[in-house]
Amino acid sequence: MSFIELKKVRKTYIMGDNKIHAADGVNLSIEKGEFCVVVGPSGAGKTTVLNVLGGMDTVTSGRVVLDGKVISKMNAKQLTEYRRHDVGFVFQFYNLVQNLTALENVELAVEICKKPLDPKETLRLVGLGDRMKNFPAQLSGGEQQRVSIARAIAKNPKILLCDEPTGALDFTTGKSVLALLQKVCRETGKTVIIITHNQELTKMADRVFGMRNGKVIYEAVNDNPTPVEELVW
Amino acid sequence: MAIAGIIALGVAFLIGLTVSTPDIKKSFTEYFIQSNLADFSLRSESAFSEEDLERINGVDEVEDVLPLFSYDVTCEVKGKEYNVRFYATDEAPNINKLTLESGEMLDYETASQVVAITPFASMEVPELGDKLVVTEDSRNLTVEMFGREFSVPLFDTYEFEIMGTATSPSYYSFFDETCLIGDGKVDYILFADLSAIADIPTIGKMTTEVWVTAEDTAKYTALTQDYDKYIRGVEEDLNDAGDWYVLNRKTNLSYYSLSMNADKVANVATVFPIFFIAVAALVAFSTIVRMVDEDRSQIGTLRSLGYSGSAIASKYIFYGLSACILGLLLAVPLGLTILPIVIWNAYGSMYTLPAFHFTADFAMIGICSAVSIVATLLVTIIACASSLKETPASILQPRAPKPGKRILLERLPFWGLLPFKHKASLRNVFRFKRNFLMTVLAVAGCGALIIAGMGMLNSVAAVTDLQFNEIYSYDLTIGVSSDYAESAELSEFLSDKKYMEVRKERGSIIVVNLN
Ligand SMILES: Nc1ncnc2c1ncn2[C@@H]1O[C@H](COP(=O)(O)OP(=O)(O)OP(=O)(O)O)[C@@H](O)[C@H]1O
Ligand SMILES: [Mg+2]
Repeated sequence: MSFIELKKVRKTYIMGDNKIHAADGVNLSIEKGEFCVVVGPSGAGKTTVLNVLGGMDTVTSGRVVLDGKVISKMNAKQLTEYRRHDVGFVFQFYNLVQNLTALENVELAVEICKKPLDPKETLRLVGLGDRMKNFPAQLSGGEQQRVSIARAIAKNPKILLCDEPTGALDFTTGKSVLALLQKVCRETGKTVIIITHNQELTKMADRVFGMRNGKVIYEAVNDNPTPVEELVW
Repeated sequence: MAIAGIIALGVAFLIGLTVSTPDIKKSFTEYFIQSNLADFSLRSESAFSEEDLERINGVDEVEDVLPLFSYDVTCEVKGKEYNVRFYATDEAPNINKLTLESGEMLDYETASQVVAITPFASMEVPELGDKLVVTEDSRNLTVEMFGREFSVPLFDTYEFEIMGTATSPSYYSFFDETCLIGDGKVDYILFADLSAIADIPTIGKMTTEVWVTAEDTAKYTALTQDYDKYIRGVEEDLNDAGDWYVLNRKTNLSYYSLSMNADKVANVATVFPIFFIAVAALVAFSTIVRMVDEDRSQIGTLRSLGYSGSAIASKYIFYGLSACILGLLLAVPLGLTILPIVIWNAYGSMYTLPAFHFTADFAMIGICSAVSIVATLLVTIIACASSLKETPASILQPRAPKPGKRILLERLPFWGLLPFKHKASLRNVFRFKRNFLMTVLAVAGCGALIIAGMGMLNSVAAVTDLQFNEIYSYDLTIGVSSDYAESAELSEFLSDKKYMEVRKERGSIIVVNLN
């Protein structure tokens, strides 16, 4: 059994009379420590799958398993515990708390964790050792995204889920953020899943899923992922 | 902050209204105790004898007894004639003690000295050094002795000088005191030494009035039913003890009108609480709802980090509670002081006020605090609940607006004629009903409270006006002796002057002018 397994996952939204299948029988398996990329056009259901996997949303039917835990069977309280200890999120728009400094944002996350990493150490790791006292508004987009990555990894979770982490960043900044994520994956052995629109990014992944209309339409395993630095888009 | 403010305001008002009446009663009670206000004034058709006084003293519950000479006479002051009420005692009265305001107290040796009561209503203003001369007509008293009538002098001195002015616990209202001489309205009230009063043959100094206090009066708050109940028993015993009229405090105009007015605030205080609590809860609710809405994405972030709903809600509960407690901390001292003082001063337009005494109604403060805290808690939980019920995934997204339904107005024929700008705002008003309703209710509630507050102040002031123009709609009270009341001469006089009799009481006829 794989580290992560989704079986026939279906998520249906009912809008008035018509049903929208945001995820329509998704099957996928991911091994521990893999750097995964999910691509697909807008509305394909990528965010939906990530939310379900991250315990942010429940499935309509199907089974979600992470490291032997059946996420799809958890109640709200268990999901909260799960998010607290096992999942780190990185969002497109960073989602930092504006009135807390970079360091405080990280501390806020680790405060409730069992065996977190040192927040300062983590910020140094993402290259923000000298910006800890800055508020989000005083940081550039790329820097803010690095704070949010630090926040996610400081929790010492089992998986890092990143929904379009470079969506709001320019080319070079986006690249450095991706390089950081790849480095975290390689050095700490954490499983990283990244959602993107960008086909080019599939080259850096160990495993790629293509989605469309709520279904996984292809899966590719990359034995020789390209380092981020060599990518162009 | 808005929450702290509205709670402070609401609770302060509430506490203020609740303690105002007790404050008024307490202040007057203190004054009454300190000045030993009489519980009864005894009057008699004839003068009180030594035996009478002994019998009064013999009544069990009686504490102090003060016999005095009281008489209404006409005096000339600075060339004009006035109605003057005289009280004379052989030493400073130990019941209805005077509080000197200006000048000096009597030395109780010089017969010509008098102290005047601080004027109220339309009384004349006494000035130190003013000389009063008893007019010729008022100098004698007709007494019946041995079956014959004698005219005996009332006074040993006819000229008096005002030495000082003083307040008395039996005279402090905005009502004129009435008398049976001149135009029927007392212009001066004077306290004199008994040596100014003439000895009447075989009787000596006349005692025309006796002031009496009861033993346990100090145990009761004046102007309350508890006091009334206590005093009723004493009154009966005094009545049984002799042949005289027993007049309790309620026959004193000042005390009676005060007892009526003091409870007005208390009545208002019973209606307001519900209103206040409703408005405060509404404001607190909309504030917290707005806050939770503004923090939406932050709540989403916290949930994604694994914070539980209750941990997030506790932040708002903490906020609401600290605002509430801050409000309460502000409200209690404010409510206990400012509003009662404002109301007290409003009463100052009707009464000569004694020193103010604060009271604290701890039960009320406790109830107010408990209710505010529970209401804030409840309101906060309700406000948070809807946001925390959403899944973390959906809360990270902007709130999905409800599908735009067409509003009823759009079906009306003139809808198409309205400019777009107006259509859009009308639509918003009807689509966001909760916001709209809350704004309307909050504004209405606050407006109503302000108006009610102003109305209250006005109505206290308006009592004076109402009393004389609406309630006292008669024009004249005519004092008559019982045999004259039925005489043809009187009815002829009344019809001559176009007066209509409306009511007849012992010794007086109340009439209205038909013109
Ligand atoms: N709360 C919701 N209510 C109704 N429909 C929804 C909701 N969330 C998502 N959907 C629908 O589910 C489908 C999949 O949405 P999802 O957000 O997973 O797409 P996505 O692949 O992440 O797209 P994008 O690349 O644009 O972010 C879409 O058609 C979307 O309209
Ligand atoms: Mg998406």
